[in-house]
Amino acid sequence: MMGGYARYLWPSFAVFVALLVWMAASSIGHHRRALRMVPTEPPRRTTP
Amino acid sequence: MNRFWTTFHQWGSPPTFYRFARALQPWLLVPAVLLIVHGMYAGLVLAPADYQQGDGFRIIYVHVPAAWLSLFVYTSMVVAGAVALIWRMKIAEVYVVDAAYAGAGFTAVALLTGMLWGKPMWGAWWVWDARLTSELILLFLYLGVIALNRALPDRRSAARACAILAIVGVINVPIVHYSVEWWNTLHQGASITRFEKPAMPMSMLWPLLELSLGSMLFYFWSVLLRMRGSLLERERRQAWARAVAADAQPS
Repeated sequence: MMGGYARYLWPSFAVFVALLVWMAASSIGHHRRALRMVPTEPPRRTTP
Repeated sequence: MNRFWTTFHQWGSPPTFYRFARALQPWLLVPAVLLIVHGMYAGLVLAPADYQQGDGFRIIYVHVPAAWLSLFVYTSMVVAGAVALIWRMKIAEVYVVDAAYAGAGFTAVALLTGMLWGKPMWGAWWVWDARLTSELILLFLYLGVIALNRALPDRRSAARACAILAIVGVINVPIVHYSVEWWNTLHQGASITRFEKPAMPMSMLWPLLELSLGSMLFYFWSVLLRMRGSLLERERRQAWARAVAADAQPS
């Protein structure tokens, strides 16, 4: 199996898998960073 | 009709969308992973080798889904851009910007895998063919949207500018799609069209359909997660965002 042009085949699949991994990692990272940016303590009440 | 607009705006509300996206995501990720894993196995092992190209033809199993999605993502950005400009909907503004990252990734992979196919089949990594050149312009449009968004400090103005750029660039989408028909290109014509019988036997076609559907579901999972992050970032002072962040904190 995989004779001939196999040396061009594996890099193609590797690039595609790398894209999917990057998409997942960057979206998860973006969401986590956003979660950390949200202040969790209640907003301060200011008296007029 | 009023009911339609009420529902439309209700779904456009960030907290409603955030909850909907969070609930929907597992239903996208699980089938996406199953389809991609099985599609890759089928494409690499089960599908027969091409009688002329041998195993080299299997590059289409990653090249074609990436190329299809590069056009699909851009078209969806244009629709979202129009919604963002007409109805000032935050969800649509966020989508235009967040979809550009995955879109640029799919376009870059379509170009790279095309080059890896071109070298053994055409004898060259790159030719200034109409299909290849218009796909490269599509990559530049995606990068332009990303750069424009980063250059403007105000999120809403940046998103609207990105929407305008995406809409202006839509002229390139039919050029990419029909370039193989309008010009005499080295790139082959469409093998799979909506109205005609595919030029491939089913044993070769179904891994391609599996990988395309799996990649699309995976794209939606990824973009929804990114959009959830962007909405939290924008609305971090709102009560709903604080409640989400408080729930996510380890107890």
